[in-house]
Amino acid sequence: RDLYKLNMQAVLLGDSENGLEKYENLDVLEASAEDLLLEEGEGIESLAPFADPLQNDAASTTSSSGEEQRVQTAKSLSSTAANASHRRARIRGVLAIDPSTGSRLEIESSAVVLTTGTFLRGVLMIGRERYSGGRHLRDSEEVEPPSIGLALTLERFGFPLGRLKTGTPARLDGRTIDWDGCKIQPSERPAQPFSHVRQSRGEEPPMAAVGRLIDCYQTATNEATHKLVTDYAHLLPEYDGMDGKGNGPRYCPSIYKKVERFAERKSHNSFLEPEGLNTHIVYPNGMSGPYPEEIQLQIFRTMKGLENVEIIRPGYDVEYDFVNPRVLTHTLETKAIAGLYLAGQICGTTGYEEAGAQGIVAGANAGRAAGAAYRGEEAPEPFVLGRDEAYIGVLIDDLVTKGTLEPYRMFTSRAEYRISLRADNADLRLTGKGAEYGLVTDPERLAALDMRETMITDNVERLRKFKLFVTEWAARGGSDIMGGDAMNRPGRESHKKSAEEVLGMPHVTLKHVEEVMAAVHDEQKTQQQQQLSQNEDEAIINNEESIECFIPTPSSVYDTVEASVKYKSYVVRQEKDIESWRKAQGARIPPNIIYNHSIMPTFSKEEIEKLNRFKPTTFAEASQISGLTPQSLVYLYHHVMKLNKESKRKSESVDGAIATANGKM
Amino acid sequence: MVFISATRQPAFIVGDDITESMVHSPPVCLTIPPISFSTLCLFLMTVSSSMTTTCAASRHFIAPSGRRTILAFQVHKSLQHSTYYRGNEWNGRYYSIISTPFQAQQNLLQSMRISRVASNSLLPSYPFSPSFKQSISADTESINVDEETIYQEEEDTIFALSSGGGGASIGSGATAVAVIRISGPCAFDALRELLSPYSLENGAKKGEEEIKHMKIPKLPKPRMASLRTLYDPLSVAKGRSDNNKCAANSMQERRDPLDSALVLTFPGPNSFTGEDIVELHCHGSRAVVHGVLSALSSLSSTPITTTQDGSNHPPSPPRKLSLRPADPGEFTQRAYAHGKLGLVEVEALADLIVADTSLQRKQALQQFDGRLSRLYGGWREELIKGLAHAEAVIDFGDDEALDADDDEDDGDGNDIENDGGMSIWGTIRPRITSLREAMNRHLADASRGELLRDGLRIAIVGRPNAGKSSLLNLLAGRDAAIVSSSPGTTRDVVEVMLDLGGVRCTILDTAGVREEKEEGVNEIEVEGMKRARRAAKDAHIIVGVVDATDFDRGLEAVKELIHGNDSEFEGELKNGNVIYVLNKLDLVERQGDQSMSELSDSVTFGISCQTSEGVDGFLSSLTSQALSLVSGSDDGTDSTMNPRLLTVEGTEGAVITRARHRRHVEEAADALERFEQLSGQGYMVLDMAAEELRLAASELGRITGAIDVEDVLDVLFADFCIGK
Repeated sequence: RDLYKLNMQAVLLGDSENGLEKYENLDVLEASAEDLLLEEGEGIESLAPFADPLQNDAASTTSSSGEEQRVQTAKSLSSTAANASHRRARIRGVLAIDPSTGSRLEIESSAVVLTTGTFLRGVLMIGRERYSGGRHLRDSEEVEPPSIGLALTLERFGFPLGRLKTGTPARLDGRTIDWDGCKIQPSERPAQPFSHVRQSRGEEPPMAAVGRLIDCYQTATNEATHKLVTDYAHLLPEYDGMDGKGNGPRYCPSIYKKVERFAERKSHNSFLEPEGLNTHIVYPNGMSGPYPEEIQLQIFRTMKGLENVEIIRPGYDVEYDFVNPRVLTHTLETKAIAGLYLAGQICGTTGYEEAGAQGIVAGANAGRAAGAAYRGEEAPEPFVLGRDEAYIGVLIDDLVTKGTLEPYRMFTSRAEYRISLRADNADLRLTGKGAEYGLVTDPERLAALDMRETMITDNVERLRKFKLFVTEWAARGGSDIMGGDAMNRPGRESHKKSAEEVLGMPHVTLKHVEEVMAAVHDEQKTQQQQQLSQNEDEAIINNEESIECFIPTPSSVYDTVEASVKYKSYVVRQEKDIESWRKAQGARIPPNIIYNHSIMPTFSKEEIEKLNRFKPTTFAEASQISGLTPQSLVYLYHHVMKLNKESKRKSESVDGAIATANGKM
Repeated sequence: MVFISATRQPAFIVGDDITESMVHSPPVCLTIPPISFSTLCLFLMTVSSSMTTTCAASRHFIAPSGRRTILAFQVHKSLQHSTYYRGNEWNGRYYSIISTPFQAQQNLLQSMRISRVASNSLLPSYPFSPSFKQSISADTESINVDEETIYQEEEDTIFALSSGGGGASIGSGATAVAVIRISGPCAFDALRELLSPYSLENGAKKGEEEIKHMKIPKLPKPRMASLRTLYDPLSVAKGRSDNNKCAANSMQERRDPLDSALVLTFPGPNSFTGEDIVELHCHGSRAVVHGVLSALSSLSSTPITTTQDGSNHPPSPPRKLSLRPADPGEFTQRAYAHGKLGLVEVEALADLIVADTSLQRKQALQQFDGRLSRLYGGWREELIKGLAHAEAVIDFGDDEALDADDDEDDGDGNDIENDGGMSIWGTIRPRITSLREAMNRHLADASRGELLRDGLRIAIVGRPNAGKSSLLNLLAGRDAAIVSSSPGTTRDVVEVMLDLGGVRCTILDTAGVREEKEEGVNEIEVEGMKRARRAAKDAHIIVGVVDATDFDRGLEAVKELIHGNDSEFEGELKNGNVIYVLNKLDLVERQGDQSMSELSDSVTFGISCQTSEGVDGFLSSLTSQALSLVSGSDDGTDSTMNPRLLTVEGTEGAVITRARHRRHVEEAADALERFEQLSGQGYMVLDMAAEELRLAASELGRITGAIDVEDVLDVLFADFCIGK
C-alpha cells in the first residue's frame, strides 16, 4: 500500500532520484476544498454538453453549412436541451484553505471534478460516540476534517442529498497474531499482472518477480464471538439513514449484521490481510463493527489465532452525504452547475472500483472540456461508454438513469452483455476508444494492443482452418474430452470438425486442442522432411514454411482466444437479441403521445410524471426509466400499437394527406 | 382568441393565443356538433425558437349522426428530450388539423368552436348552448369564442347484450334469460331513464318541485338484485306525436312497460370494468332483448336529469347521455384500461366469453382466477432463486465459502473448503431440473389445453352409403345431412357441433370413399373424396363406418383412408383414436361377430342407425375417448408421478392455453436444459450456464413481467452471507 502510494506519487509529481519527470501540465496541491466558485445566472451553457446522437442527427439534417450547424447545435442545446431548465450556474473555480497557513486560496478553473468520498458532512462513529470527520488516518490519532461548506453549496443548488454509511474494521498488530493458528491463503502463482502492457511483455508483477509476495491467512468467528456481537449490539451507533439503522452496502455487512441475519450459522470466515510489505498492520476482512474499542478487542480475542491480538486502530463507521446521481448526465457533469463533475462515493457508489471508474469518465470529460475551452475550441465530443462496451458504461447508465438507494456496487449480473465484457478483452474493447479520445497516448500500450489483436485474429483463424475427422479428434484427444459419444456416433466417421468447433465443446480447453494440433503438425512436418530429402529442388521453395514449428497460443492472448471461441455462440445470440430489440423499436414511441391518467389509468402518478418528463422516444429508453413497471411498459406498447394501427387506417383513408402534412413538418 | 384558417389540405389552425402560458395548464376543447365524417385525426404541434411544444389528440372519432364529438387536447411542454423534434422546427408556431375527407374538414372547420377551459380540469360538462347551435352556420372566417360552450371529454357509455345467443347480434335462438350490460359514466342515468314510467325530460322543465313529485326512480342498492319494471322511452315519443295536446296538458305520459327484469348495479371503481355498471337480466325472448337494446340506443343524447340525493352539490348543468352499443371486447378493454385485469387474465377472459362448453369454461375460469398467474409466478420465484445462486457463485465464489446448504454443514464449519462455491451450484441443479420438468409437463398439458379450447375434430369416414350421414344425423339429433339410399349423396364435408361430456367437438361427415374407377364416380365425387381424406387427416378421432352387409370392402376402404399410402398418418393418429362402427346391423343376422374380431386392436361397435341399436354404447365410448384426449389422464404424465416437483399451491390443473405463453415457456425450458448440460461440466462453463439461466428468466419474464437484477440481488443477499 505504501509502495503503491510512493510509486504513484513519483509518477505524478516526478522523482528526480529515479529520473522520473513531473507529469506534464499537472500541479498537485494538498488543501481543503471549502466551496465552489460559481458564476450564476440564466443562459449558462455547458462546455461539453452531453449530446444525444439523435440530437446530432437532427442538427445535421436541418442545417447544411458546418458553421451554421455548430451554432444551431449550440443553440439547440442551450435553449432546449435537457439541462437548460435545470442549469443555473457555471463553475469558476474552487475555494480552498491551505491547511498549513489557513489562508484562503482561489483556484480558477472552467471544470471541476468533485470527489468527496466519505467527507461530505462526514460523521465518524465508534460505539455511541460521534464526531465530525471524513476519515481516520490509518496510523495516528488524527482525524481528517469533513467537508461541510461544499455540502451547503450543493444543497443551495437543489442537489438531492441523502445519507449513506460505510464501515471499516479495526487494524490489528500483525506481531500479536498467532499465525500458526490460522489457515494460510497463499498468493496466486504465477501472478497475473494487472496491466495488459505487462501481460504482453509476459512479465510478472514486480513484487512477484522478485519473490516478495506475502501470504494472507484465514480465521473464523465462533459462538463466543457471536455472543459478544449480540450482547453488545446496544452499543452500536445510531445512524441518520434508514431509521437509525444506517444505509450501508448490502454486500459488505458488518459482523453484527451477519450474525443477526444468519443466526443459524455458527461461524463466519475472516481473512487476515497484511496491509503491505513494510508494515505489520493487518486488515481483518469481514470484521467491521463499530463497537467501542474495548468491545472490539474482546470480540477479536475470541477468534482462533487472535487470542492475544492488539488493535492498532479501532474500526469505525462513517456516515456521509451523497448526491442522487440522477442529477448528472452520462458525462457525470451536473445538470445544475455547468463544468462541475461528480465522481466516486458522492454519486452513491461504493468506494472501490466503482469510484475509480467514475473518476476516469468524469476526469476525461472535464479535462477535454477544459482543454477545449482554454484553447478556444468548440465543445469536444463527450466521452461516454455504452452498456455493451464496458462495466463502466453499465455503472454510469444505471446511476444517471435509475439513481441508487444504497451504496451501488457493480455486480456482473447488472450487465446485459456479461459474456462480452470480460477482463481478458478489456484492452480490445477500450484502449482504441481511449486513444480516439486522446486518453491513451503511450505508444507501447498501443503497440501492445496492436500485437494482441493480430495474434488473436491469427490464432482464431488457425483454429478455424484446422480440421480433422471427428474420430481422429476423439482418438487423439481422448474421447472423454473431445466429445465422447457424439464424436463416435456411427455414421459420423466422415464428418470433419474444425478445431474451433471442438473448442466450442464444454470440456475442451485450448490447450487440449493445440496439443492435438501440434501433434498433427509435427507428423506433417516429418512427412514433408522425408519428401524434402527425396527431391530437394522443390523443397527449397517451400523451405521456410515447412520447417516452422507449431507455436501454441502464447499466454498473453490465451484467455482471449479461448474465450472468444467458447463464447462465440452466446455473443452471436446476444448480437441477435440486440438486433431484434432494435427491430422492435421500429415501434418507436411517437413524440406526440400524451401521457395522462385518462388515457393510462393503470399508470401511477409517478410513472405518468416520469414519462412526461423523460419523453422516451423508444421502448429501450422507456425501459430505462426507473419505477416504470414492466406491466406499464407492456401497456404502453399496446397503446402505441393501437395508435399506430389507428393512424395507419386513417392515413390509408386520407390517402396521402397525412403524408403531405408530415412532409411539411 | 384562436383563429382558424382553412386553406388547403392540411388546414392550419394558427393559434397566436396558444402560447407558453398555456403550457401544462388548460385543456383546449374543440366541440364538433354532429357532422358526417368517419374519421378524424387531430395532430397539433407548435414549435418556437425558445421552446418545443408538442401535443396531440388522437382518439376514435367515429361520429354517427346524432352524437356529438369533442376533441380535447392539452398542450404539454416537453422538458427533457425536446430536441428530438428539432427536425420539425419552424420559425413560427403552428398547429395543424388533418382530417378527411376534405369536405368533412370544411365541415369541421365551419362548425368548430374553440374555447379554453379554465385551469380547473374538473369542470362539469356543459351541453350545447342554443347560441352555439345557431352559430354552427356562422361564417368560417370569424369565429367567436362562446364561453358557454365548454366541454370536457367523457368516455361514452357502452351497452351490449352480454349473454349468449349468438354473440353481439341478437341470435336466432332465444334463451331463458338475457343479460344486458351497460358500462360507463352514464350507466346509472340510463338506468334511471329505463326505470321511470314517465319521461324525465319533460319533468326537468317543470322545476324541482315537480320532479320530487314524479319520483325519479331510485336505483337498486349496489350489488343487490332487485326486480324492476323497465319502461320504453320510445313509447312516449310516439304517444306525444300522436296526441300533442294530451302531452302538453297532462303532467306525464305513461310509458309502455318493456319487461320485468332483475336489475343489478355495480358502482365503479369496484366493478368489472372499473366504471359504473348496470346489468339487466331480462327475459330472453328476442322481442324483449331487441326492445331493451333499441330503448338504450334511443336514450343516446337525452339530457340527464340530476338526482335528488346529490343535494350538497351545486346543481350541475344538465348533461346528455352518450350511449352506444359496445364494440366486441370493449368491456374487457375497459377493464384492462382501468387496471382491473392483467394481461394473462384478459386473455383468459377472451376464452371465457367464447367458451362453448362447460369444460372450456372451467379452464378459462381457472386462468381467470389467476391460477395460471400463480403457476408462472411460482416458476419465476424458482428461477430468481436459481439465478441468485448462480450469480453468487460468479460474483463471490472466489472470495466466499458459500455454504448456504446447511444440510452439508454438520457443525464443522471451519473446515469448509472454499471450492469456489461449486457446492451450492450443485444444490441448485436439481431445483432447476425440477423446474424444467414442471415446465415440460405443463407444455405437454398445454396441447391438451389448446385442444380443449379449440375443440376436437371427429371425422366420420367410410365407403359410400355406409350410413355416415345417418350416423351424423343421429348424433346431432336433427337432419343435418341429406340422407338417401343412393351412394355418394354426401359430396362436401358437413360439420356439426356437438358437446360430448363437456368437450366441444366438431363432427365431420365426409363423402364416402371408393375406387375412382368404380362405376358412377364423377368429378365432383372425386373432389369430395379428396376432402374426406383431408378431414380424416386433420381429425383427432376417426369414426370408421363399415356397412355390415359389405364388411370386407368397407373395412378396406376405411383402413386405406386412415393408413393409406400417406405416411404422415402413421405418427399422428394412434390406432386408439380410431373407432370402428359396424352399421346396418339390423340387415345382417349377427354374422359380423366373427369378422369383427379382426379389428380387436380398435374399439368396435355394432350399431344400426335405423333402429338406434347400439348407438348409446357407441356414444358413451366416443365421449370417453374425447374426454381422455383432453384430460390426458391416461398418458402417464400425470402430476402424481412426481409430487415433489414444484408444489405451488393451487396451481393444479393450470394449463397453458396460449400459443404466446407456450412459445416463451418452451424457450425457457430449452434454455434450462442447456443449463443442466453445462452446469454438469464444472467451473469452466459457469458463466455460460448462468447465461442460459438468464435467458430462461428473460423468456419467462415476457409472460410474467421482467425479472429485474434487483430481484435477483435481493434473494442473493438474503440467502448468502456475503461480506468483506
